[in-house]
Parts: sequence; C-alpha cells; structure tokens
Amino acid sequence: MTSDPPLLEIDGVSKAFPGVLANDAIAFDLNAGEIHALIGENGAGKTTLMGILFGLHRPDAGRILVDGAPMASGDPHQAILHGIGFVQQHYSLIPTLSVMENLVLGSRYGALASVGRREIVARVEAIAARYGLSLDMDATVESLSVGEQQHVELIKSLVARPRILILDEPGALLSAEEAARLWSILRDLADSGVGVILIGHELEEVLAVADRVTVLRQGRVVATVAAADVDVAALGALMVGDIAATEHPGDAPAADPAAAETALVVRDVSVRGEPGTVAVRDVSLAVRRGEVLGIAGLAGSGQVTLIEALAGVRPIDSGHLLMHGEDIRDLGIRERQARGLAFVPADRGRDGLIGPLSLADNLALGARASDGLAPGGLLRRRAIDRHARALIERFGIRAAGPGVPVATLSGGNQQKAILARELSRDPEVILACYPTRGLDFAATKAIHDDLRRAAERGAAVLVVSIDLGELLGLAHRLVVMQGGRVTGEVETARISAAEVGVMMGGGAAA
Amino acid sequence: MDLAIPTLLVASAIAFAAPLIFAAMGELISEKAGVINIQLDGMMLAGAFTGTWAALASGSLLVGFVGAAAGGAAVAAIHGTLCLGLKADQVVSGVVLNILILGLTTFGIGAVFASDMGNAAPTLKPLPIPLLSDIPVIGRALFTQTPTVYLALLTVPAVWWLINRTTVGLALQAAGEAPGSARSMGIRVGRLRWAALIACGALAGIGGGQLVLAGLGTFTQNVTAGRGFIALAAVVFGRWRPVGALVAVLLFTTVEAVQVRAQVLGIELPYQFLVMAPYVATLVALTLFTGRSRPPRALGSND
Amino acid sequence: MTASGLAGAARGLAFSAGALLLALATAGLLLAAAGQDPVVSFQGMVETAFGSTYAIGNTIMKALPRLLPALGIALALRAGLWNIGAEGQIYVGAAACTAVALFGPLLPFPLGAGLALVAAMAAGAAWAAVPGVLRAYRGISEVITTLMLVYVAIQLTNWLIEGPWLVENSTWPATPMVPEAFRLPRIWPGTLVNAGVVVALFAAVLTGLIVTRTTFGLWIRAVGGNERASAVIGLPRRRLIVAALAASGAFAGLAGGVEVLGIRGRLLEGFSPGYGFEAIAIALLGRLNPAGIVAAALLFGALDAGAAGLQVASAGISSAIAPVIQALAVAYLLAGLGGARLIARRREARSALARAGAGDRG
Repeated sequence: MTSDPPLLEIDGVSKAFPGVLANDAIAFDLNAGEIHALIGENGAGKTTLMGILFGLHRPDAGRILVDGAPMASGDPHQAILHGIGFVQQHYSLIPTLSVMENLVLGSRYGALASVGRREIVARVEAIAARYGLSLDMDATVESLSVGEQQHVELIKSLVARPRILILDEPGALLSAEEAARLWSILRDLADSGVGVILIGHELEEVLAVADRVTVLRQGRVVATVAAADVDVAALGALMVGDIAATEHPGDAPAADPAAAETALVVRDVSVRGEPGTVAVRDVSLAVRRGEVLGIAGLAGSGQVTLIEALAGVRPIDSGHLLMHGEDIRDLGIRERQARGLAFVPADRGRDGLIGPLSLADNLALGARASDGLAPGGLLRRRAIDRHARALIERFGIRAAGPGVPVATLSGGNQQKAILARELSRDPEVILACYPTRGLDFAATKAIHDDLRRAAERGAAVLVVSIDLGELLGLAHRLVVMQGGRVTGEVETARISAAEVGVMMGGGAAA
Repeated sequence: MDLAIPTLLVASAIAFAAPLIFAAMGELISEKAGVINIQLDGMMLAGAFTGTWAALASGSLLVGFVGAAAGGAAVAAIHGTLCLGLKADQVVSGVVLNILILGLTTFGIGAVFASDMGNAAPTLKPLPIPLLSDIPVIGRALFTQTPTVYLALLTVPAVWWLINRTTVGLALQAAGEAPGSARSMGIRVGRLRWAALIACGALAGIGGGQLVLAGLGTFTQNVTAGRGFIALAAVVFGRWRPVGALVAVLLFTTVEAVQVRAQVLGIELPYQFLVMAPYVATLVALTLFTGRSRPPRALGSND
Repeated sequence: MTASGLAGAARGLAFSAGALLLALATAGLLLAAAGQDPVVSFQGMVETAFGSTYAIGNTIMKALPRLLPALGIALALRAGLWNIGAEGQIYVGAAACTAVALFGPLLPFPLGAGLALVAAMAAGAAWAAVPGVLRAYRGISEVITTLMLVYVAIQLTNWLIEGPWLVENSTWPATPMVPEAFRLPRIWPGTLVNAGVVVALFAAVLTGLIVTRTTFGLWIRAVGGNERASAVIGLPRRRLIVAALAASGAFAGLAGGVEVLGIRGRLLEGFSPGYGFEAIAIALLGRLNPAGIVAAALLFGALDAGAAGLQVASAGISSAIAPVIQALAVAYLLAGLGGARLIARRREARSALARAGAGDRG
C-alpha cells in the first residue's frame, strides 16, 4: 500500500510540566479535508498538545510530521510557515491595537511575511464578507466583545489560508446561532481541503461536526473513533472513564432536605464582568445546610464571576447575599470569613496559594484568631507548625514537611492545601470553584471526600464545575448557568444515565 | 533688543533638549517593547565617555558619535544579557549598572584620559540653516544649532513612524503589551526586545556623546548629572508617545534654561525648585493621568 | 531553622561569595590594565579598611548609612515592592532630624536624640508612603515614583540648607551644628564608632523579627509572593503595600538621622553620595536576610574605606574602583542566580518527565 502520508502526524509526543505529565506518548493524525475533534476533560492535555503542535511548547519527546516531513518544534513561526493556524481559547490578540492592526501583524509575522499590507487588508475584507463576519476594523480589540474577538482570531487564521486549522473550544462563548455559522464555515474549509482540528467537549456538537474523534484522558490517547460509529453516551464514558460510574451521587443529605435550614441565599444578584468575561444577571439560588449545590454550565457562562462575587473577590452590583439571614453583600473578604465563609478559587496557582511561602505559612494564612497562631500579631512558630502538621495529616497532603514552599507541591497536593486552609475554619458555607481541575483520580477523590464530609458535618457547599460528571457525583442538586443567568435546575438523584450524556454535551442542559 | 533673551532661552532650551531627546526616544522604543532602563543615565554616561575617547583618539567627530553609540549599546548589551538572557530583574540590573558605569567612567578618567590632560576632543559647531536661520527669534533659536540637534529633532517623527506606521513597530508594541499573544502570532519577542534595547543604548549613548561633543569636548566625572533620569521622566510624562516625550523634554529644558539665567531674569524662586520641577511634574502627571495613560502592560516583566 | 533552610542559606552565601571573588578578579584586571599592580592595590585597600582599630571603626561607620536603608529595601522587597528611592528618604530623614535638633526643645540625651531619630523615621516613612499610596490605590508602579522622589528630596534638602537653615560663614553649604546633647556618643574608644551602631544592629534584628515572627511580616511576604492570591484570601493588600513601603522608608530615614547626629553633626549638602542606591545592591547581595545584609554592608563599607587608601597608595587611580567592585559583585550575583534558575527549571522538567514515565503521578 503506497498511500500518501497524512497531512499531519503527531508521533509519540510527551510533555511534562512540574508535577504533571500533560502529554504521554501521544499519537494523532489528521488528513486533508477532515474535521478531527479532540475531546477530553479539562486537564486531559488537549490544549498542551495543540500548544506543542503550534510551537508554543517544546515537547520533551516525540515529533511532529507535516506531509511526512518532521517539523522543527518549539517555534510558532515554523508552525505558521507549515500552514498551521491556531484559534486559541485565550485569544492571541494585542488588546491595545486595532482589529486591522492585529490582523496585519498576525499575517505579516505569520505565513504572509511577503504579502503587502494592502493585499492583506483586501483578503481580510473578502473573508469577512464571505463568512458574514462584520467588524469595525479600526476599533481596538479590548473594546470588542468576546464573540467579536473570536471573529478576529478566526479571520486572522483564515487570512493566511492555512492547511491545518486548530480551534480550541471555539463554541464555548458563542450563541447557538453564532456557533451554527462557525460549524458551517469549518465544513466549508474542510471541503476545500483544509484539515481542521476541533478541541471541544460539547459532545453533541462534536459528533455533528467532526469526521473523527480522538479522546484524551490524563495525558493519554484513550481512543480514536469515526464519529459515525459512536454516540454521545459512549463518548462521554470514554472521556470521563470510571469516575462517573464509581461515584454516584449520594442520597439526599438530610432525610428531608427541604426542611433543612437555608444557610446561603443569593437573591437577584447581578455582577458586572470584566471585559472578556460574562456578566452575571439576576441570579437567585439558595443552599441548605448539609447540601452540595452544583453550578453546571459551559465554561464562560458567568459561574466563576458569580462565585467570586459571593466570596467577596469582586463587588456585587445589585441584589442581596444572605448568610443565615444576615446580608453580607457589603462585607469584606475577612469579615465574610469570620462569619463562616470559605472560598476555593478557580485558579489555584494564581488565586489560591502564595507559591514561595511555606506550606505551614499558607495554612496559617487561613487560620482564625481563635486558633492562637499569632496572638497580638506575633507568630507562634511552634503552633503554626503543629497546626500545619495536623492539617497535613487530616487532609492527606503529601509534602516533604510543613516548611517546604507550597509551589513545590504537586497540583493535587496544592489543591488539598487550599482545601485544608479553608476547611480548617470549620466554615458554614463553602464556595468551591473547579475544585478538581487538572487533578488525577486519587486527588480528585480525596477532594470530593473532603467536600462531602464538610457537607455531612452541616456545611452548605456550592461547587462550580464544567465537568458534569464531577457535579453528578458530588452535588445533590444542580443549577445550570448560561450567559450569566440561571437557566435550569435539577435534582441529581432524579436524572438518568442517558440524560447524563446529553448534559455532558451541553445540549439540553437547560 | 527685548527679543535677545527669549531667543537665547529658546535656543538653549533646544540645545539642552538634544541629549534628552536621543535618550528619551531610545527609552521609548525599549519601553514599548517591554524593557525598562533605569540605567538610562548610565547608558548616556557610557556614551559620553566612549564618545569622547573615540573622538580624541581619531580626531573625527563622526567616529566620536559612533563610539558614543557603541558605548551606550554596550551597557544595553549587559542589561540584555542579565535580563533578557538570564531573566534577572530589570530594576535591579538598572540600578546596579548605573553604579557600575559611574564608577567605571570615573575610574577611566584617570586611566584613559590622563595622557590627554588638557586636550579636548573636537566639538561640533553650530550649523545655521540658510534662510530659516534668518527668521527673527525663532530662526536664531531653532536653526542655528549643531547638526546633531536637528538630528535629535528628526528622531521624534522617525520613532513615531516606526512605532505607529510600520509592522515592526506594531510588533514592538505587541511584545510590550502582550508578549504571550505576540509569540503565538509568530513574533520573536526576545529578538525584538534585544533589538529595541540595543537601539535604546545606542541612542542614549549618542545623547551622552552630544553632551561632550557639542559642549566643551572634555569628559568630566558624572557629566550627565542625572539627565538620564530626566529622560526617563519625560517618557512617562509624555505618556509613552514620541511627541509627548518631546514636549516633556522641551518643557523640562525650558525650565532648565530659565534656571540657568534666573538671576538675569530676576526670578526670585530658589533654583532648587526649578531643578526638581521635572520630577514633580512627572509625579503629578502620573497621578492625574492614570487610566488614560499607562505603561506597556508587560514593562519590566521578562515574560 | 530546618536543615534544608540552612543548606539554602549556605548556598545563598556561596553565590554571594563567588560573585564577590569574580568582582575582585575583574577589578584586579582593570587595575592591571590601568598600569597598577593589583596585589599592591588590594593590599592598600585591606590595610586602610582593617589595618588598625581606628580603621576597623571607620569601616563600620561607612557601613552604617548603607546598612539601614538596605534593611528597609529588603523589607519592601519581601512585599514585592521596589523601593529604589531610599536615597531620597535618607535626605528627608536627615532634614527632619536636623529640624528637631535645631529647632525643637533642648532635651537631654537620649530623649532629644531619640525624638530626632523618630522624626527621621517618620519623615522617611511619609516620603515612601506617597509611592505606596499611588501604587496601592492608583496602580502606579513604585519604581518610577520612588525614583522621581529622590531628586525632589535632594533639591528640597538643598534648598533648606542653602536657604532658611544656612549657617553663616561656611565654605560649604551646611546648617549650624546640632546641640551637643543630640549627638550620638562614641562607644568604642579610639574609633569613630558611635551609638548609631547599636541602633543599626537593633534595626537589623528588628527587621528580621518583623519578617519572620509577626503577622505583618507574614502578610507582606504573602503580598510579595502572590499579590492577587493575598487579596483573594482577604488580606488588606492595599494597606499592606503602603505600610511596607512606609516601613522601608522609615529605615532609610533613620539612616539619614544617624548620619546627622552620629557623624556629621549637621545637615550637609550632598552628604549621601548614593548610599540609598548602593543599599539596593547590598540588600540583594545579602539575599534579603538581615545577617547577610549586615555582612554585605560591612563589605561595602570596607571597600569605601579601603578605596581611600588606594588613592594614596597608587596615585592617579581614582577610588572609583570601590563602586565598580560593588556593582560587579551584584551583577555577577544576578547572572549566577539567573543561570542557576534556568538550569533548575530545565532539570525540573526533565525529572518530572522521568517520574511520570516511571508511572508515579505524584
């Protein structure tokens, strides 16, 4: 058989970041004219793999072949010259420059170095017209909505007439109509011979759009299948592995949860988002003592903005936030903590821990005055050490000792440290955002157990996750957010396995 | 006759401005790309030293200015090695380089210029521009300057054009605003920053050379007397725009020109307040203009 | 301190010592290039810096005005803040101290001197608090603002000296001498060493305790380690930034006061030839650790004192070789640390791969 080499071949690529093997001997190929979807949970290694393909990361092992010839790695410039375009999840645009300046820049430094500025402008206009992507070319990118910025990204990639186009979670922030248009553009491109790699986790859409699907889990390829051969449920199972099966939701928290005391009430809360994030509008929900309430929804539906506002990290513009009947909306973070609030932020490295400080110091930062670690503003080193050792034991944190910088811990142990810090106060309300993102099975289970135990103890727990499997295993009740609003609510005990798959795909979640 | 003093004031304000304009334009390019140079004064000082040396040794002013550019660029290269190469903090590197260059050039006076004691390097003569220099007041002030003053004024539109009208300039801004995004666009951020930094060093060096080679022709200890810091302030005061920085420099040097002639002008204000004016003005401007003007987002970050 | 902490400290010391040796070697080459015998030159420096009791005292006194600002700079750096304006804070501290001593009530020692030094600290703190407020509440980088305020402070002090406070019949602009009761007494016979040394050593211990043993210290380290996360945890980020810079300025101000009351006896124009800038280098060379900073300050003091001997020993060579050695030492340290960081990062990635490859997922 003398078939041509595939358009693209990823051969045994591995990449390690401190503490985690993001890609483990990945094999992947792409043919011209094909839409190949790459799916997997957050942290499965999809974005890392595409980053390597595009030269943003240098692989530790393996190689990338385009038309059967190896491509130099670790240089986006090389990737661009090989005809690869990448629409990233975090758009690679320069916020202070205008749309046209961004497009010119992206082209001139891309595959079109020898193409004149005027020609680029003409191509931009032709593409915008052909696909109906109307944009104010003189507006600065920072003044655009997220959806519009994605249009800029897409145009930028198309101007170069790529042979391989990668899109990272392109549908996440688009309306149904915008998404439908995007899928037809992609199909159009594939028909003209472009190879398209689509990263996603909306399984229904993936199956509708893609020709083949490759599933990643924990940095490894689990399967590559033809889209025609699988259904949503099968893909969902491949994606999450055993977790959804082994961890079925517990029964209702109290014998009669409706009768249990309401600990946290969110009433008509609106939060202005930062540019590039979705605003929260008129959200109301309530969490009872002993209950785990999950907030489900696709990434960027406003759930992170909401939970940060509840934690006091960003201001609530209107509405009320009641804890045990008291309005805490205008209180600072420390005052909220003193009233029994705990917060596990979405981005543990950025918002959760003080990396260079020791594990013990990080744990001490969450302690109450009554813990006696710093009477009169003077630290009691021994008490801090004891406090840390007790929490390390209780939460099963694996660390060389309380004195090691917390940044040297693995992701799972860092997350355990955050949980230990926050739960050490025996809080009455726990806000947890993406509590297990990027963690392996054991760490995920440990953190789920901690949250469950806290609820059993009587805490009200609010969990945000885009991993529906996680929420089904953890929460007693789910609310679904979309576009900054709550669009639905379900009791997890009453939801069937078939519905799980559908909800995983984000299809009829509402 | 009443016009003599304003003419003199404007003329000396512009003459004082030239070294600062070179340095400020260099710093502007560098900061746009994301590299801050606290050692701008050190770059000027190094340029003044090597420029004097080169001019003395060769007897040629052109060689002198090339030497000045090389001296400033050499300091930039050390900064680049430490910060861009080895990811050291740009602020520390800048502070340390200022100390180093002040020490080295002072040490060098004895070591290098000892045999030249009493000799001065050739210096630039004013080059009146025909016709234009005959315009009353403005003509004398603007168009009877040394050639490098005209060159300094020309760097302003040149830098503006580079930053705002060329693809390289856009890439430069991208490197300073969003290096991560710039990289995924295919822009080689590291190289671009190196280039901007070296250009900054060369320009600041020429500015330092101007101090000596359009002045007395001899290098004296700390001949820049903190002018690099004024240039640094001018970039901030000018809100990271070439014309803004030029206006800031001219404002500062007008104050300097007034201060030098305070007695003649019958100004009672203690001169110290005029000397500190640029710094106070920059601080006030920073406080008032926040939001509307801000440094490049990745300035000093080594990302 | 744990064993690993000690090992880390030893490693830090090794880096600083190595950088110093390289700097001395480079300076030796420079001296040789200038036609001087480096060995003779360095012997002259060592002799002048340590050759007698008086010389040692002189070295200590030269270390003092560099040590205090360095302690403050290190404190601010713990909070992730660059106080590169210590030079200005030294001047305003000296001015405030002089004002109290000249125009305040004539109190007996140590009340008057104490009050004057407190004024020095307050002035330095206030001067540094301005960039702190601008940084905390307006988001303006403290790098430029602290630097700009240096020149404002120097000119303001110059004006006081040449204007309202000028003493008559002086060849050099200066204020009148402060009353004897305010002067810091000598505490080591046969040397210039005065009670300012006690103040400085106390300050070194104090900053060490603040950083490691107080909630304030923990909180500013948290802000310095991750400003964003500190805010999310609920620390009063803005007030901590202002407080850290103010505290930093207080130590620089104190240096100005000690210099006036201990050495000069009055406010002199240009009395600090850049102590505040050298202090940045000292703070880094001492790796932000009080003991290390004391050692680095003594080193800088010795180089400064020794350089005077150099001028005498080998005519024609300027004493400017001292700041060259100082700056080179820090430059080499930066290079060494940067190189080590890059190597460590590469090694870490490789070992993570090896670990993961062995099936242990941590």
